[in-house]
Amino acid sequence: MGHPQIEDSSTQQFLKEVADFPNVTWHALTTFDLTVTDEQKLVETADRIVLQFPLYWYSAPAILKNWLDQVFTRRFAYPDAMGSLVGKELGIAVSLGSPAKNFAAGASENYSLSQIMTPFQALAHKLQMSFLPTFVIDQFGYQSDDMKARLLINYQRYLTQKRLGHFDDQTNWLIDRLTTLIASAPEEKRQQLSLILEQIQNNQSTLEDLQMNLKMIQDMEES
Amino acid sequence: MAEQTWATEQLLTLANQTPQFKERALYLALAELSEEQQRRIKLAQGELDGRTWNPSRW
Repeated sequence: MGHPQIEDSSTQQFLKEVADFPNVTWHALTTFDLTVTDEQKLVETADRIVLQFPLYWYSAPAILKNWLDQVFTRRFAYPDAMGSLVGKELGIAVSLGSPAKNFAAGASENYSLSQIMTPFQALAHKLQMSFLPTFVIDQFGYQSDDMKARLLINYQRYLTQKRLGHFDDQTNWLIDRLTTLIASAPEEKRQQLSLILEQIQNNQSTLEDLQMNLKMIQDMEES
Repeated sequence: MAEQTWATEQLLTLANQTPQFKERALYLALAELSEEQQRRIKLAQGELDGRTWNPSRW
């Protein structure tokens, strides 16, 4: 996480608060002066690396760029050297002060966020990492409670869900969260939540069965 | 919203009654999931019916 004034950012404080998963390491950059080997060790432990920052002149703030320049050395990162990043995932969580819809061809910013993130995509390509769709947080201060609730879950999923963009993985992720909640819920609520869990699991298997039948029919039609 | 399932109704009620923000967010996300599951089930059933009754295969 690279932000010049982390403590003053309500967006980053919110995200930090909701990123409290046992397998997530929140690493805030507070200095330009780095112990490179420590940073590299931290990178090595991660499967998914999410660079998180507010968009500064269509790029990352200097503190994050400095981190990338110092930590991703040729020796450490190049696939034909140590290749320490090969096979890992690279994600970007970017916060915007203006609406995300402005970032499109013909809109006021004229360039899409995918275009703006191209240097990071190129980096992922070079280092043989999988580049994830960018996670966008726009105008956090103007968001309603329901929008923030949705942001919370989507951000947690961005950090921890197995395959992003797969409905089945999204379902399993939410089932896991509900199962954890049930374990700590008071008895009267536990029953209600368990019935809800059961219905969601039933829906999941109904959908699986239907898809299997559809696939069978499609295969028959083709043969 | 179209006809809600029992689970969706329960989840939305829970969301309204829960003061804890993180827990409330999870209920809302589960309610959306439950609706999306119903939508996908209907679509898949529709496709299955359509393919089963395909006149060119009679």
